[in-house]
Amino acid sequence: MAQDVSTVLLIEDDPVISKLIEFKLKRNNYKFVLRENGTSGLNAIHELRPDLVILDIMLPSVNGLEILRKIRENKDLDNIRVIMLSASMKMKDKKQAFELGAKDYIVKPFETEELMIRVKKAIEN
Amino acid sequence: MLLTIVNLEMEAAMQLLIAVTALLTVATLLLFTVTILLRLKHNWEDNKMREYKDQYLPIIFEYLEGNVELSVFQNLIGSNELKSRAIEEIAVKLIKNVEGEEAEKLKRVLMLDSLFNYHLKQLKSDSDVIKIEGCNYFRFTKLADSQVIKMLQELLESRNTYLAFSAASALIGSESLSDRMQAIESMAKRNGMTKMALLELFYRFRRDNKSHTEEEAAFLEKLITDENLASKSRAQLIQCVSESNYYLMIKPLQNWLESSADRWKESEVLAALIDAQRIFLNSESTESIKKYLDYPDKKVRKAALEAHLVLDQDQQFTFEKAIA
Repeated sequence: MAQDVSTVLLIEDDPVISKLIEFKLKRNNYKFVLRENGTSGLNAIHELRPDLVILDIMLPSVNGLEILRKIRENKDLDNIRVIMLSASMKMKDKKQAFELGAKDYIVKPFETEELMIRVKKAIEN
Repeated sequence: MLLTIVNLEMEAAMQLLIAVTALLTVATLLLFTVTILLRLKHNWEDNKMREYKDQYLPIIFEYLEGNVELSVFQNLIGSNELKSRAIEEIAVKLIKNVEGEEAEKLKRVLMLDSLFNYHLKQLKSDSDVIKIEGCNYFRFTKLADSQVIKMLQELLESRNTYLAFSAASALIGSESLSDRMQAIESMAKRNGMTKMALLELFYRFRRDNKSHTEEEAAFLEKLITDENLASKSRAQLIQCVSESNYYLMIKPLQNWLESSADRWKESEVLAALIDAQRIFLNSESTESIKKYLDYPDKKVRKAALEAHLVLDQDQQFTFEKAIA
């Protein structure tokens, strides 16, 4: 029987970081989908219902925290796990992300191996 | 007669005014044109860079997958500076996020001749800003070229602290322990160096994923005990040793705390030594720390109370007392 492949949606506008995460996720047998701005990212969440969203905070159009708030306000999407990605190490930003329901918070630059472990953990839990 | 002379002078003045105005107009137009041209050039370069990055990004990942050889990049960029910069920017960004074999492969990309020679030239520049750019590049490469190492060592002595620190940041990546020691020592003894900057070097002082060595610890011990070191620098070094978890230093740190030599009795040094016992959870120093619970200096007393709360299991002090 074929094993279920988890879908990970990345919402990130930096092409280098996106390509790196795509490279790693595909190597780890995840289905990868990329959206480069908040609006198209939010649409993709509605359409695809991914197993996990990796969400950059600083995005064009709608920022990552706003997207997270919208996900949590929608009961149909409430079970979607979200890992926040940000260059900010500020406790205030981390706190806000966790209060809004983020599963994890990763600071850029990050070790991709660590990201993969956190992705696995977030999907398993 | 007088009226004629006045008229003639007025005419000459008017002509001079017209000439000056015309000159200023031409100069303004020229300046405007140059600004526009520079702006256009900048925009053109930005667009080209984006184009090159889009083109090279998939190739770099093909290279990481093992599907293309390193030589492909040299052929692609030739001697084109913009192309070189595009590859460099991608590789540097990726190096910050990967480790192991992938990081090694990316470092090889950075060592392509055109990139290496371009940045080597930067180190020789008269401008500090350009030299810093060069240092920042070598920070991400495999530092092995003796000419580069020598130049970085010389830059450690620069009067420009930012340039000296950039050189130290590059040199700390050297495989040679003596280069790394030189980088730490030079920055530790420099006036105006912040703890955060020093700590950044400390985190990279030991080799990736390897344990601290006895040799490194011996160097640090010698550096911290240096008689000529200012108290502030000594305290910063002690903080860096403990905050970067340099566990081989636990015993010397305890010995210094218990020593009666003057250099360890300066308030900031003493507070750093007591903090170190707490950070390393060194319960063997519990009794020595108790002596400082009523110390006149507030900073030392606070450090002692915090350490006491952590280390002494039978402690009778409450947290409220410690922070009062």
